[in-house]
Amino acid sequence: MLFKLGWIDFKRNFLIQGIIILLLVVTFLAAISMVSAIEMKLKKYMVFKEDLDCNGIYIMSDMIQNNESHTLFRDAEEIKEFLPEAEEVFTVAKLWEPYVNDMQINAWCYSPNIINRLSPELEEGRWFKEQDNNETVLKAVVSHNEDGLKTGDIVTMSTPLTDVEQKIEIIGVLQDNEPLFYHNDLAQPKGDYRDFYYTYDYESEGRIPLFILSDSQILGNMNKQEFSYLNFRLNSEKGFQRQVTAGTIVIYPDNISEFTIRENINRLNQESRIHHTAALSDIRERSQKYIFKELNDLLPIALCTFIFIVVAGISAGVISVKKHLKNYAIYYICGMQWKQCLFISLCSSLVAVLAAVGLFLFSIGWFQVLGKWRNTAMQIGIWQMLICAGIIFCYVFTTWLFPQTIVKNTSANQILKTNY
Amino acid sequence: MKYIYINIKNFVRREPAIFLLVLLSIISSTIIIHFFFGLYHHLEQKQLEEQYGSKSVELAFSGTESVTKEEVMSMLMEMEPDLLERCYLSMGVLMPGERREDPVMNSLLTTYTDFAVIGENVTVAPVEKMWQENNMLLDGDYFTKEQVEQGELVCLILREDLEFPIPEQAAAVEQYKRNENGKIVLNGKEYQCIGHIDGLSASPYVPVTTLHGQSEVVSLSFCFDDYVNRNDYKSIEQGVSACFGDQVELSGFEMPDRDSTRFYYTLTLLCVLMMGMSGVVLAMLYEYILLQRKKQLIIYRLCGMTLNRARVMYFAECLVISGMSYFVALLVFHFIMFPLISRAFTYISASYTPKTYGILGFLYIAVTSVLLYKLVCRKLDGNVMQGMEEG
Repeated sequence: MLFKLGWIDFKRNFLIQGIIILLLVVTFLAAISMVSAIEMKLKKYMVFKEDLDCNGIYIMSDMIQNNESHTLFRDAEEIKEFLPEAEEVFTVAKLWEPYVNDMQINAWCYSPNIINRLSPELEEGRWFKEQDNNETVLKAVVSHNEDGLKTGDIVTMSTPLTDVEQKIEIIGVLQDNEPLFYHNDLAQPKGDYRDFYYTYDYESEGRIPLFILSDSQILGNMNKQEFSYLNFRLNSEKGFQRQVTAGTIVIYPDNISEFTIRENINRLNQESRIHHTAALSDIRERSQKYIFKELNDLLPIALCTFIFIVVAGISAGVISVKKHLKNYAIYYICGMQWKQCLFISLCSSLVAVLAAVGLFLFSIGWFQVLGKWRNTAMQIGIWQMLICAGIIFCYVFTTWLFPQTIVKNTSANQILKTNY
Repeated sequence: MKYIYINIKNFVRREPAIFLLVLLSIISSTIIIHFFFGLYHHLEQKQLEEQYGSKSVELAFSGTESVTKEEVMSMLMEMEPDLLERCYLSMGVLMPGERREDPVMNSLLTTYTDFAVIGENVTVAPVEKMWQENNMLLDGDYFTKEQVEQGELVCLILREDLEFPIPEQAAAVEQYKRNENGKIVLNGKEYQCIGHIDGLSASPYVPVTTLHGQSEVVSLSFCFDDYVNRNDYKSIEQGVSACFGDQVELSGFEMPDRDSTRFYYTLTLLCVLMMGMSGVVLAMLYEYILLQRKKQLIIYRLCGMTLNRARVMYFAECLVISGMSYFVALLVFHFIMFPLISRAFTYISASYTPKTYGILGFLYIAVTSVLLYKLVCRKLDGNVMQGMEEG
């Protein structure tokens, strides 16, 4: 009965309730935009946050050569063997002159730790999974391209340098301009986490597609003698030439001193082309400063948004309650208790909230289908949902608290007598 | 007028919470509208700036030996014709003997020019449309193809009523004023002024083919229509280092950052949502106030007030409250918020001129008035008895 009265109340003031619903929907969208914008600033940093807390070094290079065997380092395992104190090594190795279907491509092999950390946005298909490590057909994720390379295609990679071939199955296609782990050798290092990323833009790369391969699969199938043309340990004479390049992260245990780390780098640099190195602690500090500055710039916007949302929410709540007070006074005179009247007010607000949530979800879904969100950072995550829940709570709390405050100080008679 | 004041006073006394909410809503919505208006322009400029950075390769001449225009032109002739056909060049030079110690003075005295190299011909740069769209060409015409190719002595200059408050700067730019023949003299040559531009340098903007070969090049940019690709960047890098070695530094090869673009679009969306929300909140508050006052206005009408007078009275009350709140909000924004936000958002300060405040204020009051009037007319219709029943 009380729910029914709440619903009737809602219908009776449909215009103002409609405005309140619209206001709530716009408030949700504004809050989500704000939170999404803040999250976007933190996203790339959070991928490597734990690694930046470790003792280690970031190396930016064209190539790193082993001064004992006079060969280029080809993967993370090799570097780890060369630097016995190192705990973990993150590498990207590029293949020399790879071709697919007589078309020049770029091919990067990521170490397992990079594959596990990255989750780039895809146009289609999927990123690497652990089950791929046991597969005997080499999996690859390809960049956005206009060459017809798509998920499910099985292509043959070759190189003019030798007569080897490797079958590859494409499991996913990246979005264009997707930031990947690589170092931009043609730009000045920024000194923070942004140096870990490189945006692969199809047009800027001269319309050359990129194939990303996983060293987890290549090295993981060593005992099955698979992928010998990509794993020099199985076939050192013949195969795709590869070299560790761009950005390399080397993590050491905490008890290894900076002096030892520098010594390691000097050993590495004897026959290498290392442009720049930076301690992970320095990168972490500069990253935090950069993010803090970016968030600081967002602070006035966030503050304005928050204050206005609070004012708007309270205004909506107060007006909604004020409009219904006359009805509650009549219910009271007809025998209902104030608590029951307040419950009716709460029900009416909940109906408005449910309608707002429904309209909000519908508009989100509709815009998603139309692809309108593609060029924005808008996403629905845990923080966005919590903020929306907070807004709902504030609104419902206001509409519940406000009438209580009024009825404490006035009688039903006075409410009816005032200018309603 | 007296009744407007009495009604407002009664409103404050009877409904202090609602009155406070109305004030807060108007003040915060005014501040929001002004802030997000400026922010929108800041975001647009930031986006353009980032896009511009990725669509050009800039050279900085920082070596101990100066690089001359002649050397730069030879370097360009050695570069791949295909590369040069897809871009135009923007060059800044100092006339022989013009270099000063003060970099600001050098900026003021730098002569800028844009050109393209097609085949082995130096020709006009395709910038006229962009200049017109960005209001850089204040009046007159941009150079024609023939004027550039044939080295005609024509120029574009800054507005002639511009004043330079620093005496040293004013003295230095005196040389660019028209001579007795009505022409602009640059490095001993008389140029015919064919238009005025909005620019940073006091020196005239001239065709590259009229510049002396020994002019010192201080900046050079390769400007592309689209994002610079890696191959083009490497070609430019090779060409430049082959001729000039370490004397010249290239700007980095920055990839277009999709995340930045998304970020800016998200904030722009936020701007629009916040401005929309302001409107909705105000509509809601005014609608409520009108509902509260309806009974009183009906009583006034029963006592003889005409419908129009009742409408005008309510309308005037709301306008007085809105106007006063708007003025307070403007003062708060300009003296408290603006100094803070202009530190964080570099382009925002250009958005707030007295003209902007005037236009925004006029629009705000106009839109509020129209909406209010429609609301008042709809709610206060002719039928007093019906109004009493509803009340």
